[in-house]
Amino acid sequence: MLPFRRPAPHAIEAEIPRLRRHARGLLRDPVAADDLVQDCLAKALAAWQQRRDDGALRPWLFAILHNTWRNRLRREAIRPDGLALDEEHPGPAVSGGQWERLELQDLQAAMDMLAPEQRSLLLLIGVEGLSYEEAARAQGVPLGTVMSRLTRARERLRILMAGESGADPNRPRLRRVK
Amino acid sequence: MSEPRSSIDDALLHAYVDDRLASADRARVEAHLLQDAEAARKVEAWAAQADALRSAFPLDEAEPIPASMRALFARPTWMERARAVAPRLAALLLVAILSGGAGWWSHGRFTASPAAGLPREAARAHAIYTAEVLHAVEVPASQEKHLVAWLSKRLGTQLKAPYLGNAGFNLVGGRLLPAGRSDLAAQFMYENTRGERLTLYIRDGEAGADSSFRVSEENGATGFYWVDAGYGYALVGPLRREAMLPIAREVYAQLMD
Repeated sequence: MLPFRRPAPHAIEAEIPRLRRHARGLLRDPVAADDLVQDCLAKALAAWQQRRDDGALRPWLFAILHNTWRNRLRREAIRPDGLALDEEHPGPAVSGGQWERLELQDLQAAMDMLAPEQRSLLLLIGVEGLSYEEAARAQGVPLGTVMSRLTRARERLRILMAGESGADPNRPRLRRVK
Repeated sequence: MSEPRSSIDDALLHAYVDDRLASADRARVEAHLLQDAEAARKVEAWAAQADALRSAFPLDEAEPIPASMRALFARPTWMERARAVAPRLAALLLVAILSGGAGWWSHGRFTASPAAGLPREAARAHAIYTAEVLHAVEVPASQEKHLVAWLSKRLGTQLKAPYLGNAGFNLVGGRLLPAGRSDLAAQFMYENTRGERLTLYIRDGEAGADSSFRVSEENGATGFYWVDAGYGYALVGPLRREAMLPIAREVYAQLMD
């Protein structure tokens, strides 16, 4: 027995803010998002000992988050009472202070119209900064799939954003935010 | 001259937008974009999307982590071990209450209880030393490691000073004491911000078998005590039984681990 000491934080703990951010991007409703992260963390801890040390921690965690989310999507597709992703229950109008600017609301509306895997990929690469290889590992698909999915996602988003504004489809409505 | 279109594919344009290219490739793509208006429009739109997404999702490292997530990473000593022993403790406590916690005084006097004299000694040591302002402890908490090592050596077992910060009590320090029957005792003292003090009294030379968790109340002080593997333990404090119980559970969970 040794005197009690506060242990060093677990390596996973430092990744929690990123996991929560990603989950909010996937689900919008921050409560449902935290619930997803909770699930993901429990699974990650359970699998921690079996983790082969052949990859970075972050893609490994995002892969678990992604799988957990996919499983939920599947379940909710079966169960009609799974309302978390229902358009009529979009959660709080302003989720965590995000989307408050007008162009971001447009972006949100456009993102919601993407296929879930496309939305996830845009967030993994654009927001979380995962490499294409890491994103492929997180989504559990080959690199080629990631690249073609990325093109489809970005092109669809481009058309959606342009269409919504009623402007010339070749003129992006989004301004660069610097 | 622009390169043939096929050599600048979408993958390269993505990598350009996402800033994943080495400078030579970047220059190559930029040269191409000057020639290919459609590709340039595409890249501009993609980059705007990426920027907008990034600004929609700033990373807030300062945002408090929900307790349910933090709990997953808590050391098992805390929640899990306490929870693991809780049913056992509840049973022990029931026995303690049924056997008449308040009657421990006479009980100790008339029977050869395994913890004979333990609550009285612990309560006396508590009363004497918690009243001290300047000399409450022999070794202060700032030398906790030394304190624990020293008392462990003298009592001949590996002790530890339980962490009671979650209950608002911080270690003040500890001391070595003579105990009945020529044995030794160690005392750890804790204090909260209201100045209330708890003491954990550990006595060696307990001849009897391991005992249940018992409770005593005397002069406004509550004591929880038990015997384990030849050592007697008593937690004494000025709190009521209900307030002391969770702390006693915590001590028990940490020490009996």
